Amino acid sequence: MTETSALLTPHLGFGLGLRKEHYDAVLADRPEVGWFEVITENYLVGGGKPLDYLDRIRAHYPMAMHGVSLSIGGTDPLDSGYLKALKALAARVEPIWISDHLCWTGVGAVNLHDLMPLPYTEEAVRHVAGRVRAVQEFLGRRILLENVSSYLSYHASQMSEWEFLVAVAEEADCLILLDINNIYVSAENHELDPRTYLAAVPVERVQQFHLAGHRDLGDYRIDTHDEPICDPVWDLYRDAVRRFGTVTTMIERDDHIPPLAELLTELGQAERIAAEETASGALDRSGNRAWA
Amino acid sequence: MGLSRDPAPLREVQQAIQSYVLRGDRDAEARVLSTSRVDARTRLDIYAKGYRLRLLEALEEDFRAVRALIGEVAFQRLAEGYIDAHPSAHFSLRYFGQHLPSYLSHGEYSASPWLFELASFEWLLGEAFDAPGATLVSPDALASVPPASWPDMGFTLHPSVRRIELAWNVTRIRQAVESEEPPPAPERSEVGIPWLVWRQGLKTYYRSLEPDEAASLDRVREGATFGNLCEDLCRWVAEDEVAARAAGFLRRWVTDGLVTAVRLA
Repeated sequence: MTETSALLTPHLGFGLGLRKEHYDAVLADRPEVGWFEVITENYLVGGGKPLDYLDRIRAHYPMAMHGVSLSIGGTDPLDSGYLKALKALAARVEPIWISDHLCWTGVGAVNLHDLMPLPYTEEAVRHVAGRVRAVQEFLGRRILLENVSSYLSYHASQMSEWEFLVAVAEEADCLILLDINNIYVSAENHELDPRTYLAAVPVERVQQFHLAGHRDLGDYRIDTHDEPICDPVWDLYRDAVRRFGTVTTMIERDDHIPPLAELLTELGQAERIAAEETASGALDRSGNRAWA
Repeated sequence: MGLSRDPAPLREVQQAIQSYVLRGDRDAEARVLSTSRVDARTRLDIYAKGYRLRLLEALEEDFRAVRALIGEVAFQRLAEGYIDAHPSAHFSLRYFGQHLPSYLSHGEYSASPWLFELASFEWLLGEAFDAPGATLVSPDALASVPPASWPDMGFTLHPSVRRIELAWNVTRIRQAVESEEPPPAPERSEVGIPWLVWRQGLKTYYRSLEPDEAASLDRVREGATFGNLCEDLCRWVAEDEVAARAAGFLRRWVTDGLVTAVRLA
């Protein structure tokens, strides 16, 4: 039995990012994963292989749509062409939810195809929250915003990243996709405490976790999604489960993509950690969810 | 925590950061904090380098044969020039390379005209790969049209159908690269050869066309009827062979999955 906050969809288990390298293996083996997350933009095409596989795999698994182009923090007008395509794809996929990133991707009609960090200002909170509300109204549903890995911070910032994330989520009444790896990477890059970050995020708005590997380049870390999850991120995930409960979780791998079996083993570790922490009664301490 | 001074407006910050990423404009440095280990410029460079790397990878993926033919170093130089000339304006990286063929037809690259043709051909393959799908006309549907109605019959072609004229052996170059063989040297034929690119099911195909088939296919795309095709074919074949020639094309197009609708006037 699970009780979740009124805002949230109940726990959907442990999932993976759907990548084309695994299309055939997924259809042939029907691996036991709770759900798949797809990168929205990969399927905003007319047809052919991408949409064909998407439909066939969707027939067997719940899916979440995860975008990289919303540019919710951008200062160009929202891209109505993108939003219409997003809504049309959502009608086809019927996703469990739609997420994107708390970032901007370009200005003056340029797309940098990157998740650029925002300055954490009052102005940016109002600006982003207004855009989130407009997107939610257009899509007819709440969206999830994900914290990004960042490699720079601004003199202009007036608050911490977590204060900014929480302020946007509350003002826009949207949900949070908490990327545990991104918290770790950004905390390392900005010399902050990742556990302070975790403790500041409201339990009732966290719908999903991301886990991933990154690169340690000595003086800084880059969110590459091309390696297994490292131990400090597993430790932080354990702390996150203690605080947030068994949140719907998935692993992202976008480069050096290993056989599906290898990712399933890694996903098993996430499941094991969640089971250990829930069995120990740690969830009750969160006071927000009770598990039996 | 709050600061006494007003922060710079969001758009101004974004413009400064983007100018650094696109052009290395150093005004952005004053807006970025350093850490004990990494200074502001190094932090900005992470984004600037990542930007170029991502776009280079997108071009490498879409123009595999161009890259194999000119080599990694020359391709990187080409990509650098293109990235500066055509910043991405689309929400998807999928379309970033769309102007590369025309970029290759200008400046220093125009001295290697096969590059323009090879890039154009590779881009069409990509377009056919994820073009919208459509229900195909079956050969039976064609057989059910009464002979008297054939002259007025019009056709809709599959959305993946693309046509291109190629004077260079770029399809062979692409084929070699896809088979992981060394590409042949660029070679020009005496006349341009018409090619057809399309997708049947999930597979992308291409084949060369005889000039009369190419002309017929192009006329069909403009809305011509079977009767129009027969009239045009008089330029190539004797009058008593025209209907058989046109019917032969049509049967092949239907079998190959090029035709999605038959219209009767």
